[in-house]
Amino acid sequence: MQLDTFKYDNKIVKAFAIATTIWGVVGMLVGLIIALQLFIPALSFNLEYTSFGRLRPLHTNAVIFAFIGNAMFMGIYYSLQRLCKSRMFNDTLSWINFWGWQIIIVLAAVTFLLGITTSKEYAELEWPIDVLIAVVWVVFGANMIMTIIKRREKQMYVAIWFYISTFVTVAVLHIVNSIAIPVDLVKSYPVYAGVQDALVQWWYGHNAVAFFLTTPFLGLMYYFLPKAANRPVYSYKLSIIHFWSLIFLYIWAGPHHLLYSALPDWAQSLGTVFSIMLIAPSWGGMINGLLTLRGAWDKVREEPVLKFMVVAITAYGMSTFEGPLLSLKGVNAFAHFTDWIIAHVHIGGLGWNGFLIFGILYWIVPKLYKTELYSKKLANYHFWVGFLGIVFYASAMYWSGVTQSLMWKQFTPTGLLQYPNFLETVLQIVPMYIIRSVGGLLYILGVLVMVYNLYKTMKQGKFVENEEAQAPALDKKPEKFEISKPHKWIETRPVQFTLLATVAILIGGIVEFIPTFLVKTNIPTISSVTPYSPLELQGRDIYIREGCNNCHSQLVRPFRSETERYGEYSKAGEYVYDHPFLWGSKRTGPDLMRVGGKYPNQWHYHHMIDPTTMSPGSLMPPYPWLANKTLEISNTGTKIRALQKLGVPYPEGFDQIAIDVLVKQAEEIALELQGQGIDVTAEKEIIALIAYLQRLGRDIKATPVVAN
Amino acid sequence: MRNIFKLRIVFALVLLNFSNIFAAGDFDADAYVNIAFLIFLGFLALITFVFLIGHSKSGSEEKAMLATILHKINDAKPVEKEEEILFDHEFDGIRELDNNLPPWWKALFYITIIWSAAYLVYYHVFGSGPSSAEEYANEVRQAEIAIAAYTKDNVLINLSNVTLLTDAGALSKGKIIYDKNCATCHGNYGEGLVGPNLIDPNWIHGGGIKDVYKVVEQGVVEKGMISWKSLLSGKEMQEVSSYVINMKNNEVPAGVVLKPAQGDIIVEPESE
Repeated sequence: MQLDTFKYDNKIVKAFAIATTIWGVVGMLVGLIIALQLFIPALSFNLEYTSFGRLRPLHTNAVIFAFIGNAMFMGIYYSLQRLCKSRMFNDTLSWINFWGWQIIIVLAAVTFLLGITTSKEYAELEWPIDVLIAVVWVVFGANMIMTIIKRREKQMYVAIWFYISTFVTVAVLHIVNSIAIPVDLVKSYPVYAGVQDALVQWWYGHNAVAFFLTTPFLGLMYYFLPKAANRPVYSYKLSIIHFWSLIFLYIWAGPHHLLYSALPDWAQSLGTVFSIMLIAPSWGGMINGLLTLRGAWDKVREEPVLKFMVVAITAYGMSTFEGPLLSLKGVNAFAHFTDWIIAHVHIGGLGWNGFLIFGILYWIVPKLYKTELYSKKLANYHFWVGFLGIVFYASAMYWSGVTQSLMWKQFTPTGLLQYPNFLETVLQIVPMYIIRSVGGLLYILGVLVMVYNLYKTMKQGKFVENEEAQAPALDKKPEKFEISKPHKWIETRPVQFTLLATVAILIGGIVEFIPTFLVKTNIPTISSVTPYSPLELQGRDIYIREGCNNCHSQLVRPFRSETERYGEYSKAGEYVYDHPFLWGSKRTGPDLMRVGGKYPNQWHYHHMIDPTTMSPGSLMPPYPWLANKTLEISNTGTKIRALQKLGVPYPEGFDQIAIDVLVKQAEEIALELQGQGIDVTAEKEIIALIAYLQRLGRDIKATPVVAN
Repeated sequence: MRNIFKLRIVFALVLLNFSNIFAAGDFDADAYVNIAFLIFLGFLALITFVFLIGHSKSGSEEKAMLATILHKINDAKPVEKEEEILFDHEFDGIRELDNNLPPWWKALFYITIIWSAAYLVYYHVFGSGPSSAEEYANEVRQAEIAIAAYTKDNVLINLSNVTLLTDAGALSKGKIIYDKNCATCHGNYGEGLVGPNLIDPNWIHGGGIKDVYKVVEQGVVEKGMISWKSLLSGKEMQEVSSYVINMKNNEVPAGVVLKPAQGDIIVEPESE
């Protein structure tokens, strides 16, 4: 048979490897800064650009999409070429993928600091960047699928199955969750409102974890682990079963982020049961990884690459067991909104993704440079300091989460909350916040040691830009279907494989979305709930800009400990005009669902300028710029029109008079504040924010609930 | 060996942290949480086990035994015989084995599927499981019963039986409550900030113990005074109200700005 000679593109792999380390350091440093801000509020420097609410999305997006994203591309571009015995389909597409992704990251960093955000977690980027992401992602996918199609290997290896499902699902998730009506270049309103927006967002949020942080890295595990250990993969059967069950079941589990919320009970239950059913498929990946190391455990002791991978796979097993556990109603009631969840995601992020990436980097860089790793000793040092970092981080956050929840729920015998002042429950866990940041610091130290080690490795080796390889040309005839080995058929047909994977990942979303969107009883309306006034709407957009939702929820769950603290539990009908929903996922501060009318305007004014004046010891950063900046009102009409298009029942022609209505309401509030001796004028942003906060949760109090 | 030592230190640290949670004392932890943590500890033990296999000396008896156990529970071909189930294809040098699915893994998968079906049937087909709203109603009902039982045995202070306290002990307790909750709006000395002056002779809502208690208990929400009913017990509201009435007798340092008087002058608040 004739042998083809071709060259692997190593340059693109090197580019992604460098981007991975740079963004990794940046993303983790931002994480460390916000960890410190939680007990040293002065580190927000009283600047709007560096306040917690803006830095937190920067941290999450930087580590997910910049660090882990670049690492994913690095691993796929390296392994795919070798598994297909072919260079990437098109070099130009490869470089559009690379530079496009880096431009998106820089745009993300700039816009987040400027307060340009949609508020939807891990999808905070505004619509022009969303469009760019979609384009770059499709370029990546097209390049990948075409490479697979022109491969010189008859069967597609299991790693490729995972890559394909990653591409397809992320595309679907990103597009569906990002559909919005633009107001201008930097502001849009999502087409979904309230409960529906929450369902779509957490379908996205949960499956971003599944298909951006999990499936591509399982694929990478299936390539790099057997390569590094030089052992055959444990079970081909297990690969098949756990792959298909994983991608099919994962997509359903999103509602477990919304247990005890205003989401209909049936949808919540689907979230629970599909999470439980996910244990085995997830563990299938862990088992297949760990058991591949049978007979190679002596190597694990010697080889830092394998050490990192073993901890990564174990962390994967832990968090995919803990996730379903947290989806049980009782556990969720206890853990949701607390630091427990922060611990959970960091076991996944620091352990699974981080350590797997470090293992791959330690393996790939010497290969690209045709040399050995500069120092195994430093890599071992990195391993231990990183591992300790995770232990410190996670144990502090577990402890803190449990403490918080117990304090929030504790009643006195007379039926009062034991800790009615939320601040008490915050100050109690400050020591844990300090230990957590020590953990984070250790982890970053390890990464810096790795950067040095890899740099020295690069220096001592010689980079091979185009690596020559040989393989026989592909025998174009795909396998016929045989009942004894049914999966062989699809393994030789990339197009059919992609289509089948797409069907598998669409079913869960469709079953959950359609009834929630179409069946009216799922969202009982409440007649006293009316749209926001123009001033409140502008105030809400400031709330979003400042990222208040990163620390404050707007969802009172049906527990006595919450209704005593915050008031009546939240009803689906209260959110029907919320584009986007602002339920939040974490209570670093108290819930704000019903804060309207709880405090006087002047309390809010003083509290925003310096929270410690109204809540001594508060860890909330000050927002002094809100009293200096003038509210942008010229876009009010456009905003009203955009919302009218989405079905918010503002009267016909309201956009024409919206500014007058806004000014009138602002003047009333300003006048009252001036009467209290506060030096403020009606056109300042703080007036709009106060108007919004005072509106929160009041509609339901106005008249009794009427459900239809 | 050194690595095993390090591992032990790490796990000791983790366990120490967990034990602290339980030692936290007077909280009644949810049963679920205890279970969750026990499972979690079990998991940590499992990781230790996996590590120990990795770290035990090759060729040792201990290792051979562990390997046999693993092959048994996983229904796996031993490493020495794996040639029999090695596929002939390879991908960039990666080979694959045709091991069976581990039986315990299959069982786990089946159990979770059966459990899930039962869960949905229980909650949504037969409707035997309570909805979120029903769960909430139950929780409130049970709390009401418990509180009623408690109040039957203990006399609680309320608006109808509250009296003015003048003993130093009660007043100093009142001061602690005041400093923690009231001073941000009414000033450290009652001089008035956002909220009204409390040390002039004027009272907006009356200056008797019942008047003050009522304002504390119910608030004056339209003016920003919140209701403290869910935050303070009856006794605490009695203590802080008594302290507030007594505040005018405290010394106010020079330089503290007094908020202008509001409301009617009540020279002698009636006491009862």
